[in-house]
Amino acid sequence: MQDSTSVGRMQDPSVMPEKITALLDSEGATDIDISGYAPMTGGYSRLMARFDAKFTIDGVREEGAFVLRGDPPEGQAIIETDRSQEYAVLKSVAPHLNTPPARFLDAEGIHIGTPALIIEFTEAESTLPWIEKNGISNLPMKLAELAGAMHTIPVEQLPSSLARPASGDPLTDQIEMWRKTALEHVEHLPIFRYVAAWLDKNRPPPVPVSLVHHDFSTANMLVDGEGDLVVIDFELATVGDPREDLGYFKAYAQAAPPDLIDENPDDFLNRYREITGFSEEQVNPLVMTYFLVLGVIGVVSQIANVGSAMANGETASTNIAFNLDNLLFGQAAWMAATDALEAALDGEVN
Amino acid sequence: MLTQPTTDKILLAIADDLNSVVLPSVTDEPAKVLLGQIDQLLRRLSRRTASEIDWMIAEIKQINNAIGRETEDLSSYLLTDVASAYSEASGALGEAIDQAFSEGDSQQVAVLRQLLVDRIAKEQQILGQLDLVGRG
Repeated sequence: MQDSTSVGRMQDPSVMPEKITALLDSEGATDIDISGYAPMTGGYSRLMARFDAKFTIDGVREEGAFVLRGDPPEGQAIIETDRSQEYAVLKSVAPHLNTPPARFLDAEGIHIGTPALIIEFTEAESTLPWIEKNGISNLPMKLAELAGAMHTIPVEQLPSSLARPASGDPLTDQIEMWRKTALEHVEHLPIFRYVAAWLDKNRPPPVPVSLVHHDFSTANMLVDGEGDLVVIDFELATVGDPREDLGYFKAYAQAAPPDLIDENPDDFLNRYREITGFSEEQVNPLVMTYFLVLGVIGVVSQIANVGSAMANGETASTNIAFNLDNLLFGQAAWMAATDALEAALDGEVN
Repeated sequence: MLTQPTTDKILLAIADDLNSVVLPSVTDEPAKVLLGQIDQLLRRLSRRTASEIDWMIAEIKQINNAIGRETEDLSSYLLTDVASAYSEASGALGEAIDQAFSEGDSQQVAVLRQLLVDRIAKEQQILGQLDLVGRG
């Protein structure tokens, strides 16, 4: 039986070096030496650990630090995602973004014991602690450039396995996901129903689809030695409306400030529009507020689904209950955002 | 049955002990994050357990008044039964919201929205201070 605590088997330094060695060996690496295996914190969805490795592959001797990122024990994940797809996305975005390269994949968990991938470790600091020490600095502009770079990656260069809008319109899909989440949850969620109806009534003008990170927040960004933002964790990525990421960033910042966009929204939006080519009608503060609500449903639906599973006795963990409870914060933020936008729209009309 | 100290007080005492006695002796980072989550959950559960049945019964009546339904007496005050009745009323509220939007009835939308705002006010009492411990 798998360990049901957050300090499960992938967190055991006594067995993991041998498993990693087996994975690297299966990929053709030789003279493998794994050391310094230590579990990491920083994310809720996957188990992670850092280790040092020396190996030879394709005739080249390599030495460095790496991160193992794997699925938690069965039934413990708050979000169900696919390591193979994450690996493919990382490979496709690497030429365009400042993100740690993916190196090895154990898609079925044959060697690691759980589906997992290995990425290079980046010497960088979590964004919020960095801001505490260094202030905001020029991170808002860096954020605009990062978002712009991510949203202008040619869609045809993204993995074909990446989900595209089923209806052909990402807004329709996302609004439908709000409704579906409300109807399929273990109890009725009238706030979700209200949000879905409100989003449907207040649609902004469309933009071309692009890669959407779907968990675009300071929690998934690091600041490297040059003061540049490093974006990580593409497990929820799809093709959709890029403005979802801007809205999600703002939504997350309400729970974990500061909001880098709010430092100077005009400067941020000008730079973002400059890179993406979007018009002021397509991306402005009101539209970002709209997406603050719409853009969270990808994560929220996953949390609600696993919460239902826990209520039905199919799984149980503190992490699941904790994240489900945090939707209370989200509900207040969404309703406040719809209220603010309603008032702003009334002002425009009047 | 011993009812004192009430459940909310016991949960709070457990959270305090976990925080002041257990947490300082833990060195494993994932375990610390877990304890941080448990601490917040116990404090929320303490607030929730003290009032949730009363809150749900009151809100069922408010929903029914707003959508023109009679409120029937509950046959049981077991938590699971009250929660089931609350969910049923929430479903009816969701239907009424969809109907008000589709009919463009902004006055009814405002009435139903106020019910949601009142619900959120109670949820915020339960939530307290949010700390996304261990994330980022």
